[in-house]
Amino acid sequence: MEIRKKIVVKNPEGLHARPASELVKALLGVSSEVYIVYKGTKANAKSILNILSLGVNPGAEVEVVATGEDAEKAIKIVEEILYGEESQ
Amino acid sequence: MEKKANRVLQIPKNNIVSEGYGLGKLRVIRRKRITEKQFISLEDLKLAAKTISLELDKIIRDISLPEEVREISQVHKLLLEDPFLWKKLEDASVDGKIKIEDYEHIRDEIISLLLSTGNPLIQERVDDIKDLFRNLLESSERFDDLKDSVVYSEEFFPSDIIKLSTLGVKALLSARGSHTTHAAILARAFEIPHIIRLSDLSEYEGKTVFVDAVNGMIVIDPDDTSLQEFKKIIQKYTIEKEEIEKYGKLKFENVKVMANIGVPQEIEIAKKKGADGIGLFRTEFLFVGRDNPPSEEEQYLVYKKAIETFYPEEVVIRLLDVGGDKKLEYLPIESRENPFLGLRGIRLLLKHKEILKTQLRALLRASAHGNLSILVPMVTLPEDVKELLEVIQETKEELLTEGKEIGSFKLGIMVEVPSVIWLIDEIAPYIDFVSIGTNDLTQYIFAADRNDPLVARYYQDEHKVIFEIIATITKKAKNFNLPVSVCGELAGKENAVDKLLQLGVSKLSVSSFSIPFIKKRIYEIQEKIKHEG
Repeated sequence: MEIRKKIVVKNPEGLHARPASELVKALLGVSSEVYIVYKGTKANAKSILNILSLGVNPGAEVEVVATGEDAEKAIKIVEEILYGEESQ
Repeated sequence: MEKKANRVLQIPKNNIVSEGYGLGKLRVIRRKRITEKQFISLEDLKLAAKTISLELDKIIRDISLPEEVREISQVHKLLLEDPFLWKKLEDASVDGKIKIEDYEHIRDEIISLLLSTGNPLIQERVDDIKDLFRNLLESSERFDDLKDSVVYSEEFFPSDIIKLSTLGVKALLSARGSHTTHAAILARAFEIPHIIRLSDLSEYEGKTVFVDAVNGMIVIDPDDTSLQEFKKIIQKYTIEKEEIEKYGKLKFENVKVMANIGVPQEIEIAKKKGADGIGLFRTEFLFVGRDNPPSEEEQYLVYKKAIETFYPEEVVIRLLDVGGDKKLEYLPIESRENPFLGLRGIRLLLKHKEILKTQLRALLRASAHGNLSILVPMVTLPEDVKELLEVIQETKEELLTEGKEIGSFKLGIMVEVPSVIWLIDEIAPYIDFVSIGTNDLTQYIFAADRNDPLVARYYQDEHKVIFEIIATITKKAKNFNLPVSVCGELAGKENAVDKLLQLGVSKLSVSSFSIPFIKKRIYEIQEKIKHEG
């Protein structure tokens, strides 16, 4: 199962060290592959280095792509940590 | 016996990243080249990663350690285990071995990736990457003999601070660093005094050094009299510090002690130290060291967080104050001979209204979430405020037309340019408060750059002239019912507090660290008044 969702990052720290590490930790228990796409660059959401290299600031729109059995759960985790709001 | 001469280095206060005093023999950490070996086995790297990871686990689980330390350790652990990193290392290995130059190449590639984000907060993590790669190769580096020393290094990495903190190191001195690196945050969390941007001190290795990371001074090889005096200062400070924290919780009826902050991470620290709100939230961190200005949404979320954290207390957010020594990549400002007397603060914002309007939109939207005050830097003439008010009105109308929610907010000016002392009556009808920025005010009054040691004797923020100016401002402000705050270094000087309160200053805004000290001083003053009846 593949789910794609565009969200606006509302976490005031964007995707800096703290939220990025929370995200990687939270995704440890997820079997799906999870990617964050920002400005055409795709980053593995289970790699803190990949996430940081995106340089996502608060207010930015990103696309989350999850592939696997628990894709829905993965998307939910990303949304929660980034306080993501579905973009209009 | 021949009397020794003290060698004293005066340090700009901006170079202090963690406050306190330290005394000890100067030890210098000299970094070796990453390794003398030509190859490293993947197996050894994995073993080192495992060992370090276990050490970090202990820190992460130790709830007696400050939260910041545990969080930073968590980031380091995830970096150590990063799949992207290990894929790179595996791809570079031949028969289980990696050439050191390839290893360094991978490190530099990752650093470039972070630097290319153009985001200063992510770029600060470059130190963590350097730390990680160095640690994997040299996890055996030992600092055991540094106990009770003052340590100098070209730069400190986060893992150094964790190791050094366990050894009872007295102070840290370095050539490089900044207020926002993990190393600086850790030094503050462990309460180890730390001064940055120092020239090489290797020639003084082995000498006794007194570090005053409160007022900004380093004394090398002090004479016996000074040594005794320094020991007393440290003893007094240590006793006070233990006692002092409880004063942070005090609230006073007629005066507030608020925090000066420069990065969002300081919001929580200010709260913990007992700040009665934020008296000066500098917004430059959002704008400098990047390729594009921050978006309205990015700013809005940061301002909203500060405002919500302190509600119902007031949060004073200063409009962007660049020009002078701070430059923006995306806003070329022609070099001038005297940048501090040129296009800076509100002058620059009125010339570049696109930047001003975005910041105002973010601020006005954030005002819906609590108690916001907007502070205008470098006001010189009433016209500056009138023109700004027009832009605020225009911004308000735009936001309301778009159906955006706006709360109420106050508008105040920094008193830092001498002309304002005589023009305050004309400006007062347009504003709600004034904040005296004694650092710049002193610079402009005495025509002395506070970072230039050659004119240090002219920079006197405790001079009677400065107090007379404050008296004039408070007197005039009173006629218009405008509260007056002081947000420069002077507000954090315990011996100035009494005078400032007597002059009618109702808010002092100081570094988070100084809050309990200043509250203690106010408590003592009030007790004295009570007893004297």
